[in-house]
Amino acid sequence: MTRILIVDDSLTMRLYISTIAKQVRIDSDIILCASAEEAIPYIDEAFDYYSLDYTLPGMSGIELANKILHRHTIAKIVMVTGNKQEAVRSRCDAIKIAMIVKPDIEEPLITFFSEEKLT
Amino acid sequence: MISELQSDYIKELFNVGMGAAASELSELINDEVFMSVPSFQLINWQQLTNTLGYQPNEAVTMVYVSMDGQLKGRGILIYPTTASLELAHRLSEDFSPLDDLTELEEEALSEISGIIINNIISTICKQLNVNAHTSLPICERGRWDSIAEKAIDIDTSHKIMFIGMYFSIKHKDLKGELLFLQDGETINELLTHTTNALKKMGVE
Repeated sequence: MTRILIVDDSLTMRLYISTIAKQVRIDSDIILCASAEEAIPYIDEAFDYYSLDYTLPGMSGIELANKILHRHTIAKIVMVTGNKQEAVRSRCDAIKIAMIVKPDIEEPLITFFSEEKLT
Repeated sequence: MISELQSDYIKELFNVGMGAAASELSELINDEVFMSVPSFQLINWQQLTNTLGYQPNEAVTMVYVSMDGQLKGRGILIYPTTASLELAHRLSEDFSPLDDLTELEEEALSEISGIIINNIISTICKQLNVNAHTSLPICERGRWDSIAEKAIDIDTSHKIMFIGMYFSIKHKDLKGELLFLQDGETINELLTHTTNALKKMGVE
């Protein structure tokens, strides 16, 4: 069973990313969260893939990514964002996580979810 | 009636369009642009004026872009005047006291607003597969009661798409309110295209 955590404040995006994930990982357990705060209760659990939005109400996606990496040092995280500023890209590079720019996310996400699982 | 998914997806399109605009603006000013999650409401003119909360004699600056084609209407950015002056000064690199909106500053403010509105229109058109032609941005400054109706220029009995968004540049909080005004026919067409796009994404 593949475990995936998706965090995005947009309901449409949560469902869309979940649909893309299921194309690749048919038998997967997917948790959807509308904010970083909603994801915090899951932070000690291990997921095979994390898809995080950058701009979120409250805690940002990069802060959440840092918290996840603090507990799971080699977690597979992708930042799925419409904010493609250099500063945002640099923050993702600094903690060695991938970044996919909305709205053209389907193909790069298929590639991401096709990557070998860590476990 | 607009469904939860339709309004959520339209809001997301504005978010993505604003993201593209922020990227373009950050290159222009060589600094990071911070943006908030936008809010979305489909409301009438009376509800809009209540939501915005401007006093009739309050000084505001408005920049608007008209659109035609399948996406008809107007995109408008409203700035409280002090904030717009600071923003314009940043863009025009003019460090004179913040007391007046010069022609150069008006031009700078029109440019930034044009970037924001055009990036959003372009994102909506691409994702919903519709077309729109846009005018050059026009900047108006004055009392809220004297310029609001001029800038808005549609039948105020129509529904208005109100996108509340905030952005800041280099730790200076600059608040801008973004309005997209469409007539009922255009809103219905937009919703039809939104439903089609959601179906294509497998989200229904």
